[in-house]
Amino acid sequence: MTSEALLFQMAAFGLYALLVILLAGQAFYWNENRWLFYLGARKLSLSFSVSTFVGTWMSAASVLGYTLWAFQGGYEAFTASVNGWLLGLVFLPFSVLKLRKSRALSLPQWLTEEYGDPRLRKLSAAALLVAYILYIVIQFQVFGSIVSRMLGASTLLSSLLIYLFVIYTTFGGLPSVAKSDVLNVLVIVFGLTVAAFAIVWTAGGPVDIHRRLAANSPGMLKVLDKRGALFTFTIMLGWGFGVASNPQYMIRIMSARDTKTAWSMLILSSVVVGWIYVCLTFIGLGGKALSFGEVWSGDDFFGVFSSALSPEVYTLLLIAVLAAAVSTANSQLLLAACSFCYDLFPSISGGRKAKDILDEDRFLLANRVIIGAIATVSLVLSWVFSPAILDIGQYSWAVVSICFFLPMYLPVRKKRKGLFGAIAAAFVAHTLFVYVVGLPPEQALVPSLCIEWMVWQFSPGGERP
Amino acid sequence: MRRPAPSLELVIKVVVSVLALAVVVLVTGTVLHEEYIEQVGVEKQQVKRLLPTLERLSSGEARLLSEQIGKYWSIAGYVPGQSSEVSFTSADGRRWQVVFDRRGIFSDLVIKRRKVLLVGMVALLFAVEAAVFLAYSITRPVKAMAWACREVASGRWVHVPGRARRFLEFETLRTTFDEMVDELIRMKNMEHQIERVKRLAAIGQVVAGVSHEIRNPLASMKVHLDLVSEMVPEEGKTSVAVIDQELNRLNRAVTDLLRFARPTEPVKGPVEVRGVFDWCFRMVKAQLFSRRIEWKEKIEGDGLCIWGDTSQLRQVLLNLVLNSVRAMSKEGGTLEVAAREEGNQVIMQVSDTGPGIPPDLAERVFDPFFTTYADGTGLGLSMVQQIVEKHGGTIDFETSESGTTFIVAFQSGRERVE
Repeated sequence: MTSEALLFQMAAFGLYALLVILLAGQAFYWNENRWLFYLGARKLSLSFSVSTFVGTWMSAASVLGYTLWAFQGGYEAFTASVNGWLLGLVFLPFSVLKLRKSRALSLPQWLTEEYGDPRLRKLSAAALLVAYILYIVIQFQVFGSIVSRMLGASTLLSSLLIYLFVIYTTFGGLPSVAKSDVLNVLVIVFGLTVAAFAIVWTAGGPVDIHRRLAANSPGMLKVLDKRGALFTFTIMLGWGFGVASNPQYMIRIMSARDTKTAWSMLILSSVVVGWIYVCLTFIGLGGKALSFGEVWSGDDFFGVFSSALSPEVYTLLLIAVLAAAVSTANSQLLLAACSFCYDLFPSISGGRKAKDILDEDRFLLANRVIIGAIATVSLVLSWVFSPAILDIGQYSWAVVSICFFLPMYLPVRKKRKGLFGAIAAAFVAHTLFVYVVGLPPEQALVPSLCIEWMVWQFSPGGERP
Repeated sequence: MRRPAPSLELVIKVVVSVLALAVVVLVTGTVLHEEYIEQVGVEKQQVKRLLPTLERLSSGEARLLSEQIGKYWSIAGYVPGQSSEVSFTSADGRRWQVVFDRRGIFSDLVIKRRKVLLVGMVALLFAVEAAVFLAYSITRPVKAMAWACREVASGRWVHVPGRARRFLEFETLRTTFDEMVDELIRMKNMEHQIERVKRLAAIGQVVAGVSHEIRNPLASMKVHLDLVSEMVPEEGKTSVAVIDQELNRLNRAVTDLLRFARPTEPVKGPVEVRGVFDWCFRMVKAQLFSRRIEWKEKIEGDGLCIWGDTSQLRQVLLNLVLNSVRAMSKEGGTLEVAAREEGNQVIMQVSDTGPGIPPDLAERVFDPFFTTYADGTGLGLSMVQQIVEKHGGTIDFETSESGTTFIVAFQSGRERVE
């Protein structure tokens, strides 16, 4: 890397850090309470809602993971992953009215209030806590490796930066996360759009990219995974169900100013998210097409882009990935703290209503302490990172889907008792499918949900009064 | 419309952030500047050392040497009028100037010291987060104080919540506020007391007048009823008995009213508590039995006695006991009367296991004519309070959903006797 590029990257990173510090919300609002902290007092405007929805959607793992998949696998990446994620987006509108009607502050609370079983709250909160910690570890890892690549510092020091960024933005609760997400989404959309245009321009246009792929690696033009249509379809469903049951998105539906804003948020966000995927697809495929040339060769993902793009554009691309990491991690950290303080150990909150103003204050302070603790655990785990964490991470999303998908979207006989038993059965089935049959966790999710549905359907007990 | 004032928390955060940023920039800037100056000096030294050699070389050789050795400097043709730190004339008579690549020196320095910059950024983030917590520790006591002020303004007497403050100023503010609230509560109670006394005096005057006016005709009616009753045929005797009964009831009520309005001064002497308890038990025994109420009696110490008026003390205990019996009349329960000596006082307690007094009525239980029973006069507890006060004692009660306890303190009779 040239010194000019390095200087540029350092300056861009410094500017991004300063903007996060200056634009992220203040941490301790004068009139704050848990309603404001967790849900922004359900007053988020459309622009904030769209920003925070897209920001939390676009994780560094999915930005890099999808682009890398497109870079290595070609068109099948789009079929299996983006289709699946967008399928999840199609489900989300069906949750709007249910979530808007509820006065719950968290999804585990909603589940318990909807089905009248306190065990559901504990179980789902524990699942969310583990899932989010593992996912935050991945975000820290990605951020650390990119910053260390950009600045030539150690991964340890680099991941310390995201740790501080994320703690800083999460301390203010959802209002602060939403503020920082506006910046992050602007950075993501701008960075990826410029990078995509630059790649397509360098590669000679979309048709040329397709032609180069066809000439050099025809296998990349296949739209289905080599394991067949069924495999691709089940993976797609697994990812879709994961998205549809992810509380990160549902909480944004709950925090929107009104139902109309929630609908509008989903529509506008799908447009922005769709555009980002188009950009990522072009970046992945275009990067691969360029790697076939004489100048760039091999499968070095970052190497191709750092060589193909100008330092300015390459820096924008990297900063966009960093913004994606921060925007997802802070939202997950907030939900993890909520699961711990509000759902798993409600004694911290002293019930639903505080005695005096300091009671509420102490509860929110406890949330911040837990935010710091969870972030620290994630940081330490990211330092001792092993691929096993990624595997467990994939597994944990399936667990979250098992907890929330059917209770949220099953239209018939949904008030039936026995949900806890059904979820427990689905957990067991999923574990068997993954570790005995050897299915990928996303693929194992579909049969596990079928088992959950059957157990729930045939469990004793009638309609809930 | 006036914009809301900026939050102190925000101001602290911004000020500390700017200060931290300034410190980080100054420290890293100084480090970089020092190294930059040093590096420029090193380059100049190198040029100075090489200058005699360069002057002995031809133009081509000098250029080649500068390219090979000078990392951050090169030679260029001398331009008259252009300021140059170092210039020389090569062996072939051509004039050259040495150009230093200051930008290159600085860029390489920044890259070399990027970890310092990164650590500076980490320090800046730490400082900003510390600022947030500093702001928190300053604004929270103010927030608690504002809450307490709002509560007091809306009529709820509260102290500032939270533990003692770490900082002297906040602790002083908190204790001063709490003392002010205590003083206000005291004044409020006093006002309430004065108002009550005035009200009682007015009620007493009216009641005395009215009772007197009623009592005389009542006495006359009673005498004439006795006379008439002998002349009434057998079938009218029942009606006469009913009239007599009702006249007696009316007379008792008027006597109560008069006793309340014109309390008699107690004729004090030593009164044995056990005797009062026994008398009271005999009075209410039938009621206790019919309402399934268990009577418990507990007297700590032998020969416990009160310095007071026997009949008035009996009245006090009887009224309290009847009050408790009424509270338990639906479900039954346990009624406990207890007495013990504390210093020079005798503490008498009457406890029941009734439903307790609702918090919104607790303040009014001693008010005359206040009653929750359809057939009550509302004078029982007022009279108790009046008698207790005449004896120089105190009365209070504790109530919850599991029962009520009235606690009366009288002067002990033992000391007086001794």
